[in-house]
This record gives sequence, structure tokens and C-alpha cells, in this order.
Amino acid sequence: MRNKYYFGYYVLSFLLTCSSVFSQTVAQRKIDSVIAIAFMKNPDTNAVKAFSELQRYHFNLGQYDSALYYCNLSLPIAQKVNNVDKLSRIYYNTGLVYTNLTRYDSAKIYINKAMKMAKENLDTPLLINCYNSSALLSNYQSDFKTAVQYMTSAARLIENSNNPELLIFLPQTYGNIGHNLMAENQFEKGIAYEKKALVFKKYPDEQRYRVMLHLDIADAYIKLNNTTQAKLHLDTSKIYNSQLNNIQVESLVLNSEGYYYEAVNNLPASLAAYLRAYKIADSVTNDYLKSEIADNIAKIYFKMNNHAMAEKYAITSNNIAKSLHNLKVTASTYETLKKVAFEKGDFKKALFMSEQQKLYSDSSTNIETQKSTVYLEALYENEKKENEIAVLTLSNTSKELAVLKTNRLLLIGGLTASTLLFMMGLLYRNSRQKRLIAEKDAMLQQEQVKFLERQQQIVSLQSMVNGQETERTRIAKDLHDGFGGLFSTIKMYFSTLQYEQPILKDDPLFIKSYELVNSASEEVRRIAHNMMPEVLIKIGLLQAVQELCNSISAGKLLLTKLQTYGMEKRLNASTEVMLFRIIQELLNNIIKHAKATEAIIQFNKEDNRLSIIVEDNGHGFNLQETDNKTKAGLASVQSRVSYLNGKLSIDSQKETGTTIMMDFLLNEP
Amino acid sequence: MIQILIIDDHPLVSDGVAAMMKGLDYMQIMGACKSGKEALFFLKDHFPDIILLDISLPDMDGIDLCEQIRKQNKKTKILGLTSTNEAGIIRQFLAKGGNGYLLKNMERDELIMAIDEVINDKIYLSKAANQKILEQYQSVNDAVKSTPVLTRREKEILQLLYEGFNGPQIAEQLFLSPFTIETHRKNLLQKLNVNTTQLMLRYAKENKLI
Repeated sequence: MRNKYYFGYYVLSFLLTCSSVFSQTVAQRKIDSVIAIAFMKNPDTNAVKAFSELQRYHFNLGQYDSALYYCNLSLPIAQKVNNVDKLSRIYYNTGLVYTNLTRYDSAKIYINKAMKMAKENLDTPLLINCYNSSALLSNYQSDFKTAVQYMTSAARLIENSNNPELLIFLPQTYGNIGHNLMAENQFEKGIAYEKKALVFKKYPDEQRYRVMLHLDIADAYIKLNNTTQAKLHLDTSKIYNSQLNNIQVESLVLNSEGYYYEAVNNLPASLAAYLRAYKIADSVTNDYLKSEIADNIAKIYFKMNNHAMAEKYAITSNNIAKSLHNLKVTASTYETLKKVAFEKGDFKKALFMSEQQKLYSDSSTNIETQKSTVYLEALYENEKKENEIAVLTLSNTSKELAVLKTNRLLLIGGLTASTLLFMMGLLYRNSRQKRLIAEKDAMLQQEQVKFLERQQQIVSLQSMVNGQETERTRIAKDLHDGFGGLFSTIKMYFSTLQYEQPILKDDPLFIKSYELVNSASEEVRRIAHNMMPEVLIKIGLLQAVQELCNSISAGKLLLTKLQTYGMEKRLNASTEVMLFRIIQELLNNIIKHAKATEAIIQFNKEDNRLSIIVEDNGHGFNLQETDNKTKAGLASVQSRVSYLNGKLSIDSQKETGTTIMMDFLLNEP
Repeated sequence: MIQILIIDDHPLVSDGVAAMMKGLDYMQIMGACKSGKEALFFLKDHFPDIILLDISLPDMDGIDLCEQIRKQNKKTKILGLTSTNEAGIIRQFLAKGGNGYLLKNMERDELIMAIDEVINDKIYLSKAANQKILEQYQSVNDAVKSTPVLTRREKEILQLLYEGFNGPQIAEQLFLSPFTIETHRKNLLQKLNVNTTQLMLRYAKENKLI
């Protein structure tokens, strides 16, 4: 759930190593002279270089705005002097700066530009950096699948090149893969990769990197409930950290410490650590980290029953996380907000939060994503092995040919042919794999869009229907209590009057008035009852349907039977009202159009499955030939059924009858 | 002298009841409360012989109020006086300690009779309420019958299963989706309280459902 931020640091270290390391103490001494070069009258390659140094200097200090400023200054000069090497690096650095400013869209544009140039110029080190930065970007936006794609590309580049300068990037890459696996909840595998990274020594920025690796491993162990190992790695990271002087890393260590204390249930210590981490993250305006820590703090406050503070931090975190598209943190904050609302007794709000949480967590922990990550990892491993086999086969062939020495021409021809074949095979494989991935990607996205659209439809329908029912309840109550009471009282007076003035019993005018008042009061009661039967609210759906059946059967035209199985518990109130409306409408249809003599209503509930059948022995109908009224009735049934996420099927046979079946999967507690 | 308390949020109702009782010197209205809370407060130091209670009150459910009053005072008679005529509500009202159920559109004679009956330890139900309870009884009677009633589709599907067709085949034959057939089958299993199709067919045969 947390700490995707570390990843950023891995990539940061690339920036430093790729270009010449620019020591900060030296920088301070030189800074004036560099500025002088940078702002020279007729800028050339040296000016570009100077700007890059200034930019790097500010970048290292975490002053990203200034870094961006120098990037923007150097860009037009590099374009003018047409130095491809420098220009591509400026693009890349600008992308990195934007990444750190959490402006991911701009970052993506610049890194893509750099990547394109790196590919054209066969600039492997830069290409590796671009892959890694792109992976980082995808990671920030919870798109782990693409991240793994980029990372495997980077790993392949490094492993295939025998350049010792590039090999020093391997620990970072292993760390990245491990880290991403952890983000996908595959902690054991993740730990294995990161431990593999720990073996490497003497690579740039090693110390800071080790802090990150140990923190990551500690977190994973906490997730695996192994707190002893977690403590061990946490302490190791603290030792490395004490030799560093990096305020952001400090905040990460504190965050992990808080997480550890939370795991061993020492809440005050945990809170203290988180708060310190939060203060640092706030002071360096690292929004990504800030939202994650705030989320952690909110959870701790909630555990400590301080709901007001929990809500405050959750809202802070939620706002940032949403703007950064951090789905997991957003979902997590909604969960806290839901719990807080629940504790406050504000169930409406809790429900809203719960729906939001579901929305975000569904999109972030999409099982498909996880599956495809595993799939991609397997593909990568597989390809690596196949490459090895291919290389071995190739060398064997050449050896045999050398031993035989039969035909030099054949040897060369064979070698060329097999190499060509091998390369073509690789190319084909590569393009095919890319296409597959792209297809899968598009499919996933489409599903996501569909899912979101459906959610939205349901939400708007829900609010409409809910509003309607609330309104009906209110009107029914007003009718019943207000009008009903009034008419009853008038009748009481008439009854008393009749008793006191016996002569009125023979007055036709009085008798008529009395009758009219009587039927008016009956009518009001009937209308109010149809709008919202009290028994439905007070006792429940089954009793309400039973009484509906009773009163229909009492009319002797249609005998209506109710059968129920597994319906011992009441459903939730709004579901009951909705189901009652559906049955009311269907019975109305039967009475008005079907010319039936018998009807059966049947409820079957098993676990979450609810199946409702309404069957009559009427003359049946053809959906295409029905009149508009029936159509409207059925449409309202259909919309209510889909409101409950149900499935409606109409099975009608001419002159035999109609069976209407509705299936629901209820998510009741 | 019969002391009467009226609990109803509609002020006109108690006026109406008072008018009906005019001239009956053995009945006296000792008070009228407009909410459940007010009534519970009033009943702390007043002991009416009979309470006319409306079940829809602004602040609490009349059935709950009936239960609470009954807990405090076993002697007072409680007569529902309301405009809701629904069997489930009537049954529950009586179960929670009500002594009778009267609808507001009553005649004067009916009110007086109801009070007299209830005071004499009898249960009184107005004619319309009685009718509702009887309707309910009929449907309870139906439900008690041991073998469940099968729907037309269920009968057809059971018959076809008995003849050895499987789900998809039945679906094809009846022009229905296999999913629908499966739901009917599951419902049948639950209705006949068996776990397997085989047991279901045996049960159906024994009980002459096919």
C-alpha cells in the first residue's frame, strides 16, 4: 500500500551517476563562476553545460522550481547549437524535475522525447534512465503493469550490454523490480529481488540506496507478519541513514518506523514517528509522501479513537491523493472516512464513503493487473532463458563448424543465416509481444471505462429512485395523518349528530352526506396505503406482499399465492421498498391485462442469491405487440431491477401464461 | 367512572372522541397527549382505565409505545385507535399488549361497545380489522400445507428432468436460456428441501408432483 515513493529515489540516483558527479561543496565554491559562464552573451555548448550543472545543483538540494528554471533556460540554447547529446539529456532532466514537482503529464511528455532521441542515437545509458523514469511515472499513477514493462526493458538492456559502467545500475533495477512486486503484494518475491540488490557494492549513491532497500524489506516483512526480521532491517537502515544527511530519506525512515510500531501495536510511538515524518514531508512539499503519511496518521488516530483528528488527516490525504491519481491511498482514506462517519452515526455519509472506497479500490487492486504483472514477469524470465539457449546453440554451431573446417563459405553462410534467423526471430517475438501487451492494455482500459460508466449510471439512478421513495413516504404520511385524521373526525361528528338528533336518520340529504364522508375517508386511506404501506416499513416485505395478495384474493377474480424460502431475515429497507414496488407493478399488470385466474409469487433466497418469480395463468403476451401502458410498466420494473443489479427475464407463452423471473445478488451484511 | 387517555397527534381526533362521549356520564376523558414522550411523562403519575392509542405518532412507533406502557402498567387497557388496517400491524399490536383495535372511521356505537368490551377484559377487534385477520388466516392455512405448490415452469422442468434431459437440452426445448433453467432447478431444490437432482426426482415421484 505504501512507499512507492522509494522508487523515485532509485531513479534519482541515476541522474547523478549518468552525468558526472557534481559534488555540492565544490558547487558552492564554483557556483558564481558557473553562473558567469551560463549567462554569457553568446551562449554555446559551454553555457548549456553550465546550466546543466546549475540545474543539477538545485535538483540535489531539492529546489525543483529553480531546477526547472535552469532547464527552461538551457533548452533553447541546446536546440540552437544543435547538440543532440545535451538536448536529449535536458529533456530527460526536465522530465525528472516535473516528476518531482508531481506534474506527471508534463514529465511524461519530456521523458518520451528523451526516450525517442536515445533510441535514435543508440544512447544506452540514457535509454535505461528513460525506461526507469517511465516506470516510476507509471508507478506513481498506480499503473504497475506498464511499470514492470519498462523495468524489464531496462533490465534487459543492462544485462545484454557488457559495459561495466552500466552494470552498476543492476542493483537499482533489481531493487525496482522487487519494489514493484511488493506493490503488487508479492512480498516474498519482492524481498528476494531486493536482497539480490543488497549484494552489490561500490555503486554510486550506495548508502542512500541501501537505506531504501532495507526500509522496503522491513515493510515487506511487516506485511508478512515477521516483525523480528522487520526490526532488524529497520535498524540497519537507521544506521545507514545516520551517516547520510538527507531530510527526505529521514522522513521515509520515520514513516517506516511508524509503520513498524503500528504493527507491534505501540500506537503512541507509531503516531509520534508518523507525525515527525509528516512534518518533514510537509516542509519539503513532497505531496506524494505527504498524502501517504497523512493516511497513515489518520488510521492511527482512528485506532486511538480520536475521530476528529482522523477525519482531518484523512481529508488532507484524500485531497492530495486524488489530485495525484494515487488510487490506493485514495481508497484507504475513504475507508477511514467511512469508519469515522459510521462512528458518528452518519450512515448516509458512511455509505457514500464506502461507495467511493469501492470505486477506487476496485480500480487499484484490479486482479487483472496483478495477473498480468505476474504474466509479464514470467515472460521476461522465459525470454532470458531462451536467449541463453540461443546463444549457447550458436556458439556450439560455430565450434563444430570450426572443427570440421570443411567449407569456409558454408561456415560464413551458416553463421550469417542462423544469426539472421535468430535476429528475425527475436524481432518477431518482440513485436508480437508488444502487440499482445498493447491489446491487453486496451482491453483493460475499455473494461475500466465500462465499469466506471455503469457505476455512474447506478449512482444517478439510485439517487433518483431514493428521492422518489422518500417523497412517497412523506406524502403518504401527510395524507394518512392529516387528511385521514380530518375525515375520521368529521365522521365522528356526524355519528354523534345522528345519535343526538334521531330525526336526521330519515333525512336523505344527511344520509347522502354521511355516506360521502365515509367513502372519502376510505379513499384517502386507500391512496395512502398504496403509496407506502405501513406494514412494509414496520414489519417487512413478506408481510406487505402477503397483505397485497390477501386483498387481491379477497376480490375473488384473481387468486394470488405467496411462497417464500430462506427469507427469515429482513432485507435492507430500501431493497424491500424497491422489491415491493416491482411486485406491485407486476400484479397490477396481471390484473389489468393478463385475464388470469391464478398467480404465484415466489421468493427463493440462498446466501446472497435471491430469485423472485411472478407467474400467472393468463393469456400471455408478445413483447413486440404490447400496448404502451404495459411497456411503460415493464420499463419501470426493468429499471428497478437493474437498480438492484438484478437480471429480469420474461417468459411468456400465448394462452398459457407468463413467468417473470428476477435474479439478484444481494450484498447484505 | 371510566378514566380515558387519548394519545394522538391530531388535535381534532380527541375533540371528535370527546363529542361522541358527550352525555355518557360514566366515561371521562382525563387527558390527551400529542406524542409518545408526552404520554410516557403523563403516565408517570396518572393511571387511566383505558388508553386510546394511535399507532402513527410523530416521535415514536405506536407499537413500541404500547409495549413500553404495558411494561409499566399491567392493568391499564390499551385500545388501538388508528386508520391503518393491515393484518401484520394489528397482529403485532395485540402481541405487544394491546387489548383491542379500532379504526378511526368508526360509528359512535362501535366506540362505546369497544370500550365496554375491553373494560370487561375482552379483546375487541373492529369489523374491518377482523376481516383482515381472517384473510391472513386463510393464507397461513395455505402455507402450512406440507407439499409446496410448484409453478407451471417448475412442473415442466421437473417433468423434463425426469425424462432424462439435461439443463441445456431443456433450455432448447422450452426456448429459455440455460441460466433461467438453472435458477428454476436451484429454486426447486430449495423448495423440496433436497440437495441433489436425483433426490428431488424421487421426492417428486413419491409426492405425485410428476
